Amino acid sequence: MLKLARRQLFAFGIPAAFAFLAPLILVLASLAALWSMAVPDTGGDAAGGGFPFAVLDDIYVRRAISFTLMQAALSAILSTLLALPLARALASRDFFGKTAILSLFGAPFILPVIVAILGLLAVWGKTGPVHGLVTGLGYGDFSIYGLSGILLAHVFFNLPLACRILLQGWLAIPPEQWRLATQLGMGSGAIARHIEWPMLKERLPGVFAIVFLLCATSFTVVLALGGGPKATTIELAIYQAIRYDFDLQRAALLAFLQILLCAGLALVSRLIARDHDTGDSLGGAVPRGDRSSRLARSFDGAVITLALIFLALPLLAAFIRGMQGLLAYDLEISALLPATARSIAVALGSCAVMGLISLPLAQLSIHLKGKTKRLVELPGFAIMVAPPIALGAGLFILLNQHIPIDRLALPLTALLNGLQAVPFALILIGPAMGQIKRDHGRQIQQLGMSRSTAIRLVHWPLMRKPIGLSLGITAALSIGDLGVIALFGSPTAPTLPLYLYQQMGAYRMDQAYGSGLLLTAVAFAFFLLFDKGLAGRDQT
Amino acid sequence: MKALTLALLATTGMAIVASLASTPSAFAADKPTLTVYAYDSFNTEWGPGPAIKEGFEKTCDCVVEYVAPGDATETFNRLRLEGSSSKADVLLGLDSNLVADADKSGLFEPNSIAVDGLKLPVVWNSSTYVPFDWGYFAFVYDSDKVKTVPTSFEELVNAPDDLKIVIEDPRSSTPGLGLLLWVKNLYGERADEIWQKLSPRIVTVTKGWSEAYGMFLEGQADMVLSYTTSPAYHIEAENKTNYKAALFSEGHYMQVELAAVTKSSQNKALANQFLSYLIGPEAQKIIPTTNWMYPVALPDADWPASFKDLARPGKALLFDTGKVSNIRKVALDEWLGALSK
Amino acid sequence: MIRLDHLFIALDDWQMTISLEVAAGSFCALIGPSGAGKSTILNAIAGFLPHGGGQLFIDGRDMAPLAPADRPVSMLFQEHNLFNHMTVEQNVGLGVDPSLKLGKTEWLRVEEALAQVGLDGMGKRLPRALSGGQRQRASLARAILRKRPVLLLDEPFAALGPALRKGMLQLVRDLAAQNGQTIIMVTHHPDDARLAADQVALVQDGTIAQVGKADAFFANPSDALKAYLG
Repeated sequence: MLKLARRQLFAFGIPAAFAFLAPLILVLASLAALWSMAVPDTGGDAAGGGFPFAVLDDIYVRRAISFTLMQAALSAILSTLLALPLARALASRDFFGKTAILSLFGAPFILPVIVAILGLLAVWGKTGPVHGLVTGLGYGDFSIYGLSGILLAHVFFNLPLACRILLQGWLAIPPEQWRLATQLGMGSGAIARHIEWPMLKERLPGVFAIVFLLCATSFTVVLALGGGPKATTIELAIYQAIRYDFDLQRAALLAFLQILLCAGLALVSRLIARDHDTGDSLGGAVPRGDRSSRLARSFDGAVITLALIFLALPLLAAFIRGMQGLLAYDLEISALLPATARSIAVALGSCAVMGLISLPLAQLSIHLKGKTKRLVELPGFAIMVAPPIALGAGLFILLNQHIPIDRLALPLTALLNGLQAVPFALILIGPAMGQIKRDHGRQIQQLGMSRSTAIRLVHWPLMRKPIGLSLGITAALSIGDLGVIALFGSPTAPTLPLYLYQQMGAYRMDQAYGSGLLLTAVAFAFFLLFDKGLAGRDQT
Repeated sequence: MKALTLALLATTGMAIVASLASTPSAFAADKPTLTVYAYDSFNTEWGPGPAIKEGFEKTCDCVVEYVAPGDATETFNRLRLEGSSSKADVLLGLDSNLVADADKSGLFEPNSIAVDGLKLPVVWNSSTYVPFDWGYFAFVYDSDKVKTVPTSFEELVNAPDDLKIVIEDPRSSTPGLGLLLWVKNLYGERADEIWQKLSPRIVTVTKGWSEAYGMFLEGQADMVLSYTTSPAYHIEAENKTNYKAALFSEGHYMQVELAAVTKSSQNKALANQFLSYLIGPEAQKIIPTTNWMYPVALPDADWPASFKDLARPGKALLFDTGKVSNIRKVALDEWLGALSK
Repeated sequence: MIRLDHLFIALDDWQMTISLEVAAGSFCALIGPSGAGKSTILNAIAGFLPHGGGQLFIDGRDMAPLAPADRPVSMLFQEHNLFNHMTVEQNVGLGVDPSLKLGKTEWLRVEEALAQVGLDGMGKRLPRALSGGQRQRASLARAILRKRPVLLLDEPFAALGPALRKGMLQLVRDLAAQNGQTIIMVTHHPDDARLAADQVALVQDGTIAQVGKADAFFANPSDALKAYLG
C-alpha cells in the first residue's frame, strides 16, 4: 500500500519519518547521555554497584521515590473521591450557569500552574482567610507547605478533570435506563448498584490512572510548595541535584530512575484505562427521579457550591492581588516586556515543534493498517514516559559541552514544551484526520484534487478547529511553563514564569501577583487567538 | 476576534522591540561592562547593590551589571553550570564554608588585593577570595509575638512543637549551610538526632534567605534563620525594636562573605578594581545599613548606632575552611536523611 | 462498453473474481445481500482498490494504470458526496475544476447543472440546509459537469423514501440518456432494478451468481435469486 512516488516521498514520507524518528532519537540520545553521566567509567570497575540500584541505597532517594508515589496516590484518591458527588450533582441538575461552571472547570488546564499556586497561597496560606477558619475551628496548624499543600494544589488541578470524565460517564448512561429505573421504582441505592456502579467500574480506574500519572510528574507544584527534603519528588530531586548540589551524576541517576518509573506507570495505566469518548457535550441533566427530595437537592446544591468556592476563590484571589500588584507597584516594564517576549517566542517555537511532529504522525497513523498502526503510538509513548525535566537534563548534558547554556535554555524549553503537547494534539488531530479520509478520501481521489488543493479546500477547513485547539493548548502550556526553564533558564534572560518565580524567591509577592496576572492574560490570549482565531466561524 | 488578534500582534511586536532595546550590551558598547554574579537579596532596591553600582561606576567609567540567580550557593552553581563560557567577571557572596569547593572548581583567579588589614574575627589570608562583610547566624523573632524565647540551641531543640521556624536549604543557600554546620559543630555525631527533633518545628525549607525572611515577616513562622545583625534593619529602617535575635549560650556559627574574580573574565583589571572598591571606605559604609552585616574595614566610630548596640554572641564558631568540605558532605546527608522522614 | 474479465479483487480478509459486461449507454443494476461485494465492484471500477489480476476495460481502454481521477468514471456514494463546509455551488464547481478556480462562464455552467437537477437558486446554501434528496441532486449536478461516460451509483438514494427514490431514478435515467452515459448501480431494492435497469446482476459470495436482461433476469430466477428474493 505504501508505494510512494517521488513526489509523495517529499510531501509525505520524509515528514512522517522525521516525526516518527525525531522524538524517539531525542529520548534515546537523552537516555544515553544520562547513562554515560550516571556511570562515568564503566571500565572494569564493577564496585559501583549494579546500576540503577546503587542509587537506591541513598535513603534520601528512596524517600523521594516513596514520596512521589505516595503523594500521587493520595492526590488521585482525593480527586476521584471528591469528583464522585460533584459529578453526580452536576449530572442530576440542570440550572442556570451550569455551562459557565463547566467552562470554569476547563480553566485549570490553561491557567499557568505557578499562578494557580499564587492564588492558593493567597487563600490557604497562613495569612489567608481559610487558615484562620481552619485553625479557629481547632483543626490544628494547617500549613500550605509540604504534603498538605501539594495535595491541595493537585486536587485543585485534577478535581475538575476527574469530574468532567465522570460527568461524561453519567451522561452516557442511556436515558431509557433512567426511565426504566423510575418505572420500577428503584431507590437511590438500587440505582447506584444497578446503573451507576457499572459505569463507575468502567471509568474510575482510568480517572485514577490519569490523575496519578499527572501528579507523579508534576513539577511546579512541588517546587513551589514542597517543604524541603520532607516533600521532595524525584522530579524535584533532579532539579535540586543540578541547581543546589551541582551533582550532575546524581541528577542523571535520578532522571534515569524517573523515566523507568514513568514507563512503568504509563504501561500500567494503559492496561487499566480505556478510551472514552472525548466529546464535550456536558450539558443537560439525566432524567432521574430518585434525587428530587429537598434533602437531595440541597445536598447537591451544597456540593456544587463548595466545589465552586474551592475552585473559584484562588482564581479570584490571584486576580484581585494581581490587579493590586499591577496598579500599586512600580512595575519593571523593562524586565517584564522582554520576559513576555521570550515566553511568546518559546510558545511559538513549541507550536512549531508540536505541529511538525503531530501532523505527520497523525497522517502516518491513518495510512497504516493493522499492527503497524500501533507502532505509530511509539513516539507519543516515548514522550509520555520521559518527563521534561529528565529529558531536559539528558539533552543538557549532551549539548552542554558544545553550546553555552545561555543559548540552550530557550530553544530547549520550546522543544520540550512542544513535545509535551504532542500526545494531546494527537488525540485531537488524529480522529479528525481519520474522519476526513473515511468520509472524503475517495471523493478527493475521484475529483483528482492535487495535494495542495485538497489541503486548501478540504483538510484545512475541516481541521482548523482541532489544529487551532491543539495550538492554543500548546501555546498556553508553553507560556505558563516553569519546568525546563527553571532548570536552565538564564537569570538575566528569564521567561515570564521564571521572572515571576524569581520575584517569589526574593519574596516580592505583590509584584509576583502582578506578573501572575499578566502571565495569565498572555496565556489565555494566545489560547483564544489560536483556538477561536484559527477555528474561524463554525461552518460545519 | 480581529481586535484581539491585532492587540496580540501589537503587544508581541512591542515586547520584541523592548527586549531588543533592553539588551544593554547592544547600546552601551563604548563602555566596558562588568558582570557581577550576586545573590538575590544583594541586588534589591533596599540591598547594597544599587548604591555600590552607582559608587563604583563613578570611578571606573564602566557599567556594572548584576546577575542574581538565587541565593549564594545557587549563584555559585549557576557559574559552575556555565563554566568557562560564563559572562561573569566577579562572583560576590561566596561563603567561607564554600572555599574548598570554589578552589576545586578552578573557576577563580588569584588577585593581589591586600586583605591582612581587614577587621575580621578570624585570620584571613587567601589570595583569591576577598572578604567584604561578616556576621553571626541567629534565629530572629518578633518579641511581641514570641514570649518564651530559647536561650540556647538545646532549648530550641526541646521547645514546644508550636514554636515554628523557617530555615533555608543548605544546598542552595549559605545561611542554610551555616545552620547545618552550626548543628554539626555543636553536636557532632548527634547532629542527626538534633535534626530529627527540630524537624516538626520547621514550617518549610526555602530555597533562599529572601523567601524565608519574607515568610517570617508575613507571619508564616515564629522564628527565621538569619543573622544577629538583622534586627538592626528594623531599628534603622522601620524604627521597630520588637525584632530580636535569640542569643544561644553555646555560641553562634559565623559567616564571612567573599568575592572573587573569575578565570574566564575578560575584564580582570576592572574586576580587581571592583573588589578593592568593595573593601574601600565608601562601600564599607554602605554595607552595614543595606546588607545588614558587619563591615570588614570600617572604623568602629563610623558604625551605625544600631550596630553598636547589637548583642554579640559570647562565642564564635567556625570550621576550618580546609576541613569544611568533607564535614559538609556528611552533614548534608544526615540532614537529608533526618528531614525526609 | 465496460468489460470486467476475471477481475481479481483482494481485500483484507476476503477476495472476489468478477466477470461482467455492460453495454455502452445501458443501465446495469447490481443486487444481492449485504456484504456480498456489490460496492467493492464499484470501488474497483472507480479505481479505489488495487487490481489484483484479470482485466478491466472501459471503451476498449485498460483501466489498470489509471488513477481514479483519470478514469472515465463518476461515482456517487451513499453519503458524504458533498463537503459540508462548502456551499452547494462550490461543491458542484469541483466537477469543473477540482481546485475550484472558476471563471464567469464556468460558474454559469454550474448554475445550469443545478437547474437541470431542479436546484436552481440554491447554490449559495450549505449542504446541511438541503434535504437528503436535494443533497444527492447536487451530487448529480456535479457528475453532470464532470461529463464522464460512466456513472457508478453506490446506493445514493437508499436513505430516501420510495416516491422520492423513484423520482431520482427517473432523473438519473433521463440525464444519462441525454449524455449517453453508462450506469452501474448498486441497490438493495429489486424494485429499483425492475424499474430502471436494462441489465441486472446478482452478486453473491464474491462472484456474479446470475446476470441477464432485466425482464429475463426476474422471469427466470436461479435458485440463488429465488433464495435472495424470498
